[in-house]
Amino acid sequence: MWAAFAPAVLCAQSVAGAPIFEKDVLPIFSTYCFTCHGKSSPELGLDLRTAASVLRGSFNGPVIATGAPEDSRLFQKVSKHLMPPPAFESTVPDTDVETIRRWIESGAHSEAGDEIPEAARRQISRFENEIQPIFNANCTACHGAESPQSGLSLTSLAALLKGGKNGPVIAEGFSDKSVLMRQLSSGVMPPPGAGKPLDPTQVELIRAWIDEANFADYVHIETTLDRDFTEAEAPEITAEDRRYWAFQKPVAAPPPAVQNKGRVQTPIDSFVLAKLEGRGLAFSSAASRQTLLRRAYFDLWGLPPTPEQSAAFLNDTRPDAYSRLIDSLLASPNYGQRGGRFWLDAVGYVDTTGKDFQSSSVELADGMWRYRDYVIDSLNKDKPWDRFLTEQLAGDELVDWRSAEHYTPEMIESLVATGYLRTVLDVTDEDISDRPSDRYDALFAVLDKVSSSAIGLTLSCARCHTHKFDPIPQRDYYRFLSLFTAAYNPSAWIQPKKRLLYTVATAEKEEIEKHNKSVDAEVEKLAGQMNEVRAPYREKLFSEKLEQVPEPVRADTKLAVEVKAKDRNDVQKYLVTKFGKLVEISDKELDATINGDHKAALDRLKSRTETWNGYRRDLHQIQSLWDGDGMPTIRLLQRGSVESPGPKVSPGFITVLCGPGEDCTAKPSPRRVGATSGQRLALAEWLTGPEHPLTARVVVNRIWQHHFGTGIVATPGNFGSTGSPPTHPALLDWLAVDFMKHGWTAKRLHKMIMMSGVYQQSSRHTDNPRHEQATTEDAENSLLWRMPLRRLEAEALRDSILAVAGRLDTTLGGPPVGLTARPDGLQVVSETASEADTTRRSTYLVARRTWPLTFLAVFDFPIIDTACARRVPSATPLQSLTMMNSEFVMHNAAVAAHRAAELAGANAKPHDIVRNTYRLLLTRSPSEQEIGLALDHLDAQRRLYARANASAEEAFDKSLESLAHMLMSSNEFLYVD
Amino acid sequence: MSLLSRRKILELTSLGFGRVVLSDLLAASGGASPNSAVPIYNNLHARSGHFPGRAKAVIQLIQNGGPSQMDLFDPKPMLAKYAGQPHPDGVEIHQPGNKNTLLPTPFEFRKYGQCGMDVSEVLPQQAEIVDKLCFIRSMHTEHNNHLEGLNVLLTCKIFPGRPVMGSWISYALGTENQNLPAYVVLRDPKGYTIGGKQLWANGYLPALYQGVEFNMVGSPVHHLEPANPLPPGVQRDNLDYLARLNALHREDRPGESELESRIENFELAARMQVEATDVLDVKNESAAMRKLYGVDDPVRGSYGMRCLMARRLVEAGVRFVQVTTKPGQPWDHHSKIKQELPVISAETDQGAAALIKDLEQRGLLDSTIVMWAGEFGRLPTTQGEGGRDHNRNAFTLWFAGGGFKPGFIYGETDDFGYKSVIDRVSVPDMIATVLHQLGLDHRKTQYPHGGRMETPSDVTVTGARVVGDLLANEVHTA
Repeated sequence: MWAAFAPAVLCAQSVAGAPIFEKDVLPIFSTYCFTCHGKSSPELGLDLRTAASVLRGSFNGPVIATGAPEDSRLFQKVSKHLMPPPAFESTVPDTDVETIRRWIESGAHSEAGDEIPEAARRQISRFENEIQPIFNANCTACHGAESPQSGLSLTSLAALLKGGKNGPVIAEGFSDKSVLMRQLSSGVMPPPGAGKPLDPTQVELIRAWIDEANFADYVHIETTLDRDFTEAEAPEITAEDRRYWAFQKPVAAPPPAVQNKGRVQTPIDSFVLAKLEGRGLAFSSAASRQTLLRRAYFDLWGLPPTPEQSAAFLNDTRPDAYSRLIDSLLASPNYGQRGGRFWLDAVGYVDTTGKDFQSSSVELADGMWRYRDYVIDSLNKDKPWDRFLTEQLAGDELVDWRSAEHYTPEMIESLVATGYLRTVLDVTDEDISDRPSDRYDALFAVLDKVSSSAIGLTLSCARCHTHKFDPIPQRDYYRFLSLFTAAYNPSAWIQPKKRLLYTVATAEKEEIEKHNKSVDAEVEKLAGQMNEVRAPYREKLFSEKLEQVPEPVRADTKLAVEVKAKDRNDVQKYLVTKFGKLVEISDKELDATINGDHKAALDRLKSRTETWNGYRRDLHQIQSLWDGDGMPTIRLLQRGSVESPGPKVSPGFITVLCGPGEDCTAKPSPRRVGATSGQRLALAEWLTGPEHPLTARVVVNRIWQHHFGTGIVATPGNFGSTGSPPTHPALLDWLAVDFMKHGWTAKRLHKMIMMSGVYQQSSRHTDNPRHEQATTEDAENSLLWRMPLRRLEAEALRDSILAVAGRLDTTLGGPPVGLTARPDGLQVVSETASEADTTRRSTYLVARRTWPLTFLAVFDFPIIDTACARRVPSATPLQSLTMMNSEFVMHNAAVAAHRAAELAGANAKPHDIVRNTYRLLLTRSPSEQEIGLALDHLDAQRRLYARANASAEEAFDKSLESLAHMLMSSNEFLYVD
Repeated sequence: MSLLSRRKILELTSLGFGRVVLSDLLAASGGASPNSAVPIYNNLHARSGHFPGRAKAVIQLIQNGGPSQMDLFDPKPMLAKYAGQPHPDGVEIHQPGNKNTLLPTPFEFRKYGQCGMDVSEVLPQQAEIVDKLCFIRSMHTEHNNHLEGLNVLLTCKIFPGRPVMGSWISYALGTENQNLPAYVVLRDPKGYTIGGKQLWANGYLPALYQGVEFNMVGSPVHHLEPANPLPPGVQRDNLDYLARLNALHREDRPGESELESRIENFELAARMQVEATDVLDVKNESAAMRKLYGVDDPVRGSYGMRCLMARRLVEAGVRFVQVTTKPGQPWDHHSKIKQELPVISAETDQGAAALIKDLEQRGLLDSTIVMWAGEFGRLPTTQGEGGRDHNRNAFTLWFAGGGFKPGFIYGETDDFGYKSVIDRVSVPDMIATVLHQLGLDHRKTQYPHGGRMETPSDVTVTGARVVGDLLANEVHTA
C-alpha cells in the first residue's frame, strides 16, 4: 500500500564547488530556522530538516524553484530578512544567504539518495509486525478499508497517516498531540459496547512507536491540499434539518383571541395572555404609576428619576402621560448610553486589541472609543438595525473613502462602524506572536463575535468538525470565514498597531504631517536659541551644585554626568546614581537665576515656542477594517488547526440559513464602492435580507431581554438546538416580522413593549389572582404572569449611586476614563482623572478585557473573552461588604444625605428629612411605619456617635449619612419592581 | 480590631436577626442548564462528589517563574559530560540571548529518604521530607510565556476565560464553613504574581466561586472594614436597621428567594468580619509552631506565614487555598542561576516543608492535597550568563497527602532534561487526578457555556485521564 517517496533531483551529484544540503545548508537552517521549521510541528508544514522535505515545500506549495533562486519563495523571504521574523532578533548573515542562493542555483543537491534510512525502515516494519495486528484485532471491524467510520481506515500505514475525515490522527514524534492516542488512552476508543479497551501494554507500545516516529517522508499519502472542496464531503442538509424552527423564515400569525380582552393593550398582550389563559392563568394587576415610573427610567436610562422628574410625571393627569414619559425618555441621549451598553456587551467591546493580562497597565487601541460612541449615537438616532448591522460589517465598502480628498462625516461614521470587527483579541503585535496560528485565532474570534451577536448561532464547534447538534458542516465555517479574509488576510497580515486609519483622508494626513514637521523645525530652532541664552547660567549653576559633591570625586562626577548614559562605565554609573540628583538642573530653577535682558529674551523665545506649538494640528486614529488587495486561498482547517489544512473553500454563507436549493455562495455586492471585495457587504445584505430567518428575531429578542431580563429565547447568542427554546415562538415571529415591516427601528419596539399590559403588570406574586397556581406551575415566570423583579446591572448601580448623590456626569462621548490598579488589588477610577471624569457614566470608563473597575466586577460586570450575551446576576457576600464598607458607597451616601437635608430646607424637622431621603434614593414617600423606623434609627445612631464624643451637630449629620447609606444598601435600591 | 465581639454576634443572631435561610443562595437567578440532567449550583453549601473522595481540601503552592528542574529535582549528569557542546537536535527557544550550548547544574545533588529522591543542595528542608512527597518529573505543558503557562496550569487553556481549578472545585463541592469563602488566596503583601486576579478567576462560573484574597496585613478581605472607621456599635445598629428595611421589602414580595439570599449575605458578611479576622490571627500559635514555619525569620518569614495561614484556613474548613510566591517571577532565571536560584529557594523551602510536617502532625495530611508547581521548566542549554530559557516540554512538580503515594518518583525526562519522555503527564491529566482524589469525576464535573458542556480538564479537547500510578488508592471506575 505504501510506496517510497523519491523526488527527482535528490542525487548526490558532485558538481565542483556546488553547496550540498547536509554540509552547507543544514547548519544554516538549524541555527536560524529550526525553532519553527524544525522538529516540533513545522509552521505551515514547512520542515527544513531534510532536503526532501525542503523541496516538498509548505502547505501553500513549493518554496524552492531549483536553479532559480529569485523565483524561490524561501530565498525571497530570507534575502529580504522577512525570515526569521524580525521579532526573533536573529538575521541570517549575507554569506549564508549567498550559500543558500548558490545551493538553489546549482540544483539543490543533497547527499541523501532515494534510499529509505535504516531507522525509518525499522519503524515501518515495527508497525507491520507489532501495531497493525493490534488494529486488526480491535479496530478494523469499524475502521476497515470499505467506508470506514469517520473516514479513518486502520488497515495500512498509509491509511493511518492519511487520517480520517477530520484530519490526521497521529503527529510524528508527539504521542500526546496525537488524536489516536487521546482516544485510546482515555478509553473513548474502542467505544464501550463495540469492543474491549486495549491492554495498557498495547497502548504504551503504540505511544512509544509514535514518539519515535520519523518516517512519514517515505510513505506515499494522497493529499487533499491541491483540490477544491467537493460537495460530496459536506454532509447534506436534510429537509428534517431545515424544519427546525429557527431555520425557517418567521411568519406573523394573527394575534390569538383571548378571553380577558380588557387587558389587551398591544398585540403583544394577546400572545402572552392567550398562553396564560391556556394554562388557566391570568395577568397580574397593573403596577402603580410610581412603580412604572421607576421601571421606565431604569429600563431606558439606567438611572432613577430625580424627585422633580418623579413629581412631574405623578402630577401629569393627562390620559397619555405614560406614553409621553416613554417618548421623552427615548428622546434623551441617556437612552443611547444605557441601551448602547447592551450591544457593547453582545459584541464584547473592549478598548484594546491585546490581551490585558496586567492590572496596572493596558495598551489601548487609539480611537477604539469612537466605535463605542458610534453605537451610542446610532441608538440615539434610532438608526434602523439593518443599516446599523450593515455599517458595522461593511461600512468601509459603502463609501468611497479611498479616493476622497476629504472625508465626509458619513465616511468617518462608516469607517468607525467597522470597529465592530476590530474589537477582537489579536495578539500578533506581541513578542514573537505573528505566526499563522495567531492570525487564525484573531479570525476565529471575529467569527465568534459575528455569529453570537448578529447571527444568533454558535458556529465555533464547526471550526474543528461538523457541528454535532446544529446542521452546520465544517465547510460552512471556513467559507464563512473567507468572507473576512480580504481584510483579515492571513497571508498578508496587518498587525493591529498598523491596522488603523485617520479621521482625515490620506492627502490631508500627509499635509498635516508636513505642517507639523515645519512646526517641529521652528520649535527646535527656538530651543537652540534658548539654550544659547541659558548656557552660561547653566554652567554657573552647575559648578555651584558640584560643590556639594565631595571633593575627591568631584571631577569624576562632572565627567560621568557629561558622558551619555549608554557610554558610562560602571564607576560612572555609580557616581550618577549617587550624585546625579544633587547636580541635576531643571529648566525652572535655571530660569529663576536669569535676569535682565537675558530674561526678557528668554521669555520672548518661550512665548514664541508656545505660539508655534499652538499651530500643531492633531491627527486622530480610527480603529477600522478595510480590504487589502485580493483574496487569499482559504482552506478548511482539519480540527481547526493551521497545521492540518484541507481542501480549498470559497466565500459563502451558512447553508441551512439559505433556502433549499438556493445558491449560498457569496457574490461580491454590486453596491460596493471603491477598491474592495464586496464580500462583507454581500454578507450584510444576506443577513439583513427579507428572507433571512434569524436576524430580526435575534434583534427583537435582545430588546425583549432588555426589558424583561430574559429573552423569549433565553440564550440570545444561540438560537440553535443547544440554546433554549422560545417561550413564546408565535410572539417572537410576530415581533420579528413587525420589526422588519416598520423599518427595523428599535425605539418603536421599545415603546410597543412598554405600552403593553404584560410590561405594565405588577411584579408581586400576590398581585396575581391565580398566584398560587402560577407559582406552582411556572415558578420561573417564563409565561410572564407577572413582571420579573430585576437586579440593577453593575453600571446602573454605580451610575444610580452617583446620580442620587447629585454627582453623575452624563456628558456624551470621548476618550475613555482610565483606571488605576491600587497596591491592595482594587481597580479604581484613575487617580489622575479630573473630578468630572471620576463621575462619568460607567459606560465611559475604559473597557478592559480582564481588569474592569472592581466595583463593577463585584456586581457581575463580565470578563470579555469574546462577548457576553447575557449577564447573570449573582449574590455574594463581597457585594454586601462593598455596599457596607467601600469608600465609593460611603462617600456618595454621605453626599446624598446632605442633599436630601438641603431639599428638605433649612430648619426642616427630622421626619421631613426622612421623607426627602426616601424620595431621593427610592423615588417614593415613606409610609408612617417607615418614618417611625427611620426616626428611631436616627436617634440610635445619634446616641452612638455622641457616645463617641461627636458634637450634637456632627452626630446628627452622621445619623443622616447612616440613614442614606442603609437606604442605598437596601434591596429596594438594588432591585427594580 | 473588629467592631464586634464574637459574643455580641451570637447574641444578635440569637435575637433572630440574619435568620439563616436554607434556600439556595441564588436558586432563582442562575438560569437553568440546557441539559437539565446536570445540576447547576449557585451556593456554597457543602455537597458530595461523584464518589467518596480521599481528600477534602487542597493547598496549591504556585511557584511562578518556571523552577529549573535540572537544578532542583531532576539531575542530569550528561549535562556535565557534554557541557558547552550543542544540543544535538536543537531546542525550542523562547527569548533572544540563547546559546545552543549545554549547561550543567552548578549545584550538588544527593539522594534522600527511603525513596532515594535526588534533591539539590538549595532545598535542604524539602530534601528531609521526600518520603512524604510524590514527585512527577515528566510534566509538560503548552506555552512558553509565563502567564499563558500559568493559565494552562490552572485552567488547561492559554487564554483567560475558563475557570481555574480552585473555582471548579468550589463549584463542585461547595465548602464546609459557611462563614468563610470556599476558595481563599494568600498572596505576598508586596504585590501580585503576574496575571493578578486572573490566577483565581471564576471564568464563566458564577462569581461566587472566584478566589477571595485574604490580605496578610490589615483587613484580610477587601471592604471587610469600613473605609472610614466607625464608632463602636454604629455598623451593627446600621445592619439591624437594614435588616428591618429588607424584611419590610421582602414581606411585600413573597417568593423572591434572591432577596432572602441577599439578606443572608449581609449577615454572612458580618460574620466573616469576625471569623476571617480570627482565622488569620496567629497570636495563639506556639513558639514551636512559629519556629517550624520560620515566621520570625526575615528571609523565610513571609512565605512561611502564608503556609501557616494556609494550614489554619484548611483547619477551619476552607476548601481550596492558593499560595503565591513574591511578585516578579522569582523562579525565572534567564541568567545567573548559580547566584539567583538559592535566593528564592531559601525563601520558600522551609514554609513548604513545615506545612507538610504540620499537616501530618495534626492528622490533616491524609485529607489535604498539597501541590507544589510552577508553570513550566527550563532548558538544558545556556542563556545569558549561566541562565536558562523557558521550557514547556518538561518540568517537575510534587504533591503530598490526599492519597498521593508518599515517597514516590514518577516519570522521566530525556538525558538532557529537555523533554519528558517516560510516563508523560499533561496538565489536564494532573487536574483530572486532583479532582479524582476529591471524589470528582472530571468528565462529569460540568457547566454549560457557549452551547456546550465545559469540564475542568477540557476533556473532549485534551483527552485528560486520571493518572492512577500516582495514587495510593484505586482509581474509581464507572
